[in-house]
Amino acid sequence: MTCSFFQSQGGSSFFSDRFGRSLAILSWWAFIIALVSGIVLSFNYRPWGNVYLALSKLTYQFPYGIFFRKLHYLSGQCFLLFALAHMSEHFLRRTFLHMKPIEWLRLVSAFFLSFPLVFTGFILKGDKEGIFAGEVMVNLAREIPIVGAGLAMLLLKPGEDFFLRPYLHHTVTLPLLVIFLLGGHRRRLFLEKGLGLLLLVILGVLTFFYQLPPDIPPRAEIAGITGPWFFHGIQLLLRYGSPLMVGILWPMTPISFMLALAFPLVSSFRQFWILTGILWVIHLIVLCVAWFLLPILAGVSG
Amino acid sequence: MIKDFLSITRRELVARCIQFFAAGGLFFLIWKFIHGNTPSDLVVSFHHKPQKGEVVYDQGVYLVGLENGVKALSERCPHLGCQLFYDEQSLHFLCPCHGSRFSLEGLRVEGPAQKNMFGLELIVDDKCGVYTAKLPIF
Repeated sequence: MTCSFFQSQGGSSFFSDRFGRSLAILSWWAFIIALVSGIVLSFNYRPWGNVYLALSKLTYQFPYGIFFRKLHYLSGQCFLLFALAHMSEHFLRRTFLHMKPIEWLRLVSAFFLSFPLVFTGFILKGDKEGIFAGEVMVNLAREIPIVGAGLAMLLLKPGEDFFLRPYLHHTVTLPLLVIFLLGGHRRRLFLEKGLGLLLLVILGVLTFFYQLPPDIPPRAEIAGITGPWFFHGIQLLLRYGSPLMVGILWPMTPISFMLALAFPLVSSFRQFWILTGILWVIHLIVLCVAWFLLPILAGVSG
Repeated sequence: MIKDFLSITRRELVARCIQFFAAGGLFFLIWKFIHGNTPSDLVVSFHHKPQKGEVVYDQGVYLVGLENGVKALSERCPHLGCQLFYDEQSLHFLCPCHGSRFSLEGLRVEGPAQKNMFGLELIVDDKCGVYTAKLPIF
């Protein structure tokens, strides 16, 4: 029997159900806040010309520009973190055993797409970090056999229109895909306005105290440049391994294992579930090590 | 038909306007996506010959003065394309992303990059003292 997504499953308590539901609601409303604040920002953002200068103007000259940029940044991060927590909670409760394979596939895919969604946003800053992130993304894509060159072309076009394709993906392709993949999920979450309002108030207040990471001018000479926080583990490994292995296969492995859990033939093996969990833990450890090591390595190489 | 059009509610009118502008915006972006500017090679000229051991930079090109002449190098790291910077203390080109290190001649010293720095075609006009390098956009 296929249970409803929020029903009590696998002997879980009412609390864990409610907790998981809260995480889903928070993640969804963080996405909505990011979407609305992103639409406001897009009125004054142009992905061509001097993007760094244009974003600086948007942030510091346009009325409430800094407020909306902070709100967009914080809500985007919240969306990713709550989605991560929500997926972890479902994974630990093994809810995939009681779901239709297609529903689990859709949710894991939506979760996976939230990373490129935030990553493309990082590129759109237009500063040195953003440009480097774009270069690394397109060069990593080129490493994929057969489809790599075509995929790289879809992701980014070098030259004057460097930011155009990431912009299109950040504002149209990826948000629409996430909304589509969430399917019936989103209709249920839309009704839960209370937590969404609370999140909006908290993020709104936080924008007055939170300082955005500084934008680095494109021509500044800096010894150590880092990507978005969730990319630090890959960035560290790219110092030692081949781009295809550590830049593509390494991050794709736990996601692929999560997707494979949709199929009863695989998910019926408890060992596979444990192996997937171990993979995620290893990724987390590498990420933590990278947060610690990257600034030190940058100091050494500089 | 006109009567039908005029009989729509205010809410429907607002929704249609939003749909119209969203579709227009999307069409514009897709049009730019397909017909955007075609990247072409960048030509960078230097009006100063670097002395031995001197490094001059302009628009993505490093012009390096060596014992046996002048060499033009691309600033892009052959590993994953980050912009290399010249460290005057170690006399090396360094990658700020993944730590690759290259000598003044552009040869790989250490790090994950498997190739040397990209050397660029250099046209020298001795009469005018102009050094022109062609930087391919890829």
